[in-house]
Amino acid sequence: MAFFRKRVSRRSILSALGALAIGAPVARYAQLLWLDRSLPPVTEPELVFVNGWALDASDIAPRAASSGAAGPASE
Amino acid sequence: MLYDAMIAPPPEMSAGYDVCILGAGAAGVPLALKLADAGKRVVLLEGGGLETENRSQDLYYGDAELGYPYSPLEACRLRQLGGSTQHWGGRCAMLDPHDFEPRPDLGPEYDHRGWPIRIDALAPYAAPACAVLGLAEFDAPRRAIPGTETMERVLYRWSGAEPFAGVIDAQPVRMRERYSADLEAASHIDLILNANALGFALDPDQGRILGVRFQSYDGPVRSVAAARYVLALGGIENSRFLLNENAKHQNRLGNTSDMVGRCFGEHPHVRVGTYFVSKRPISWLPDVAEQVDTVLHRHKSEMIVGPTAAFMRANGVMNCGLRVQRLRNQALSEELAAASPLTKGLIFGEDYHYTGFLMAASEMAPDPNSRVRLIDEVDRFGLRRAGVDLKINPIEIKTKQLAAFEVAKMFIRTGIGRVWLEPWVLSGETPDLSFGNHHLGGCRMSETVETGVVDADCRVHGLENLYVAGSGVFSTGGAANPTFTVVQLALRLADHLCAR
Repeated sequence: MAFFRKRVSRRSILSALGALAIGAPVARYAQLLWLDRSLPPVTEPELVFVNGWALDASDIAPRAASSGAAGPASE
Repeated sequence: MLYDAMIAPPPEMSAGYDVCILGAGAAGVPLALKLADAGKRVVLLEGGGLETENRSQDLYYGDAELGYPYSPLEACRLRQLGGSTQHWGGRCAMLDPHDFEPRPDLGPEYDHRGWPIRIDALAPYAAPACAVLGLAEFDAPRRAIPGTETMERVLYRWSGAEPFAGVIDAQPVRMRERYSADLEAASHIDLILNANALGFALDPDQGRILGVRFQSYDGPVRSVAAARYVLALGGIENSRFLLNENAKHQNRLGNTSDMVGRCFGEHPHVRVGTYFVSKRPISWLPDVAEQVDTVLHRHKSEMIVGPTAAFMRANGVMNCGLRVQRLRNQALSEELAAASPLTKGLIFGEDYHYTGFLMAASEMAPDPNSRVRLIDEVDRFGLRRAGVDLKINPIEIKTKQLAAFEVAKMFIRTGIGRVWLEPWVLSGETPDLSFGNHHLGGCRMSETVETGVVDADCRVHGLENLYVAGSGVFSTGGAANPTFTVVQLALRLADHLCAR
């Protein structure tokens, strides 16, 4: 037991807690970024209106045709 | 010193005051305190008391529906010590540099001359105004949005927001609570409550105000004289007081061109759409420094964007603050989700994570036909009441429309989500508007009496010693909440009065 007490210093405990405090939110943030299925940026949007939705022209035709589904949501 | 006209007037009313200020609100209070600091003797007449009372508030009744239906005039402002700061929301923003500049592209139906001053004239008063209103300093009205050339982010602060305190609980600075002790303690200020200004004594030959008559609710008429006079009664009330006076004095009080009350404007508010956001970790703010700043100063997590000056000029529209309101952890309604092929397949919590509303509050073009008038009904003191004849023109709708389209494009450009627009945005019909209780114009600042009421120093055209303070002097409304600019202008006026 004496051997164990010598090896676990106060500094290492604080370092571990600090790493946890910083690492956990960073890891969570990275996980959220990785899980996200955000829409692709469009440099030059071409507005089209569908029942009030202001969409880009690419939201309707090309993706729906290529994937057979309803736009980027299904990608 | 604090006096109540219901009880007794100050004992030395005949003693020479340097300045007489009518109205102890957002403009009158900082003006009085700064003048007193500079050693000027000030008498500050406030028509109301310490609290809101029916007998005082009753004087604000009028006709709000001579034009587009406006807010009830007795409800959209407060007549007491502190004025309408006693119920304001506390959002502080600066006018933009381009708000001051001429807009010849607007066409002949609007007054396109802009202000006779530029934003540089107000810049020295930004930091002092922050101190008066209890907010962290900020030095620029806007910031660019990377990748977007048509819209910029509008910067704002909240009055009274303490660091690390929940902003929703923050109490905006109310002039009565914050400054009544200072007013009472100031030996150079005589603040008289329940002192309702009835009219001026005018020397028409010299173009000078000689004195002002006032009365409490049940006492005799009294008068007080000063070297100079400042109307700080509020945007609508300044026009009303001057219109009543001009009826008695052959339009000598800045009204030889019938401009008193004209170019009255507001910031019409309306919902323009609903958005969804497809990213979970999200900040509206592009860089780390701003995010830290936001946390420290506890801004509401709401972004405001506005059109650039180039966009406004290219499209013939006015300024607009388009609020991307707080993110809600809530799905789109079934009806909205089913309305397009893109949104039909989206799953809340997987494909998108937040929704929110878009609100537009835009500037009105200076229209001389939009005005404060007098109606026939009189108040208990025999003064004709105010009527508001507000004109909503197609340019106001176009301004909101185009701003909404640009924000929709911004969502697409960044891939952050998409926007659904209210039917009126696409049809161009005038929607049901609400208002910010921002009473702009009516005593607008101008080079000449032909186009306004006061000059660049806020002095009434044609009179040597009468000035106007408050949002009524705004030559254009911009899209910023006006209180911050009102305080800047009041502090600038104090410097002018001290220098003379």
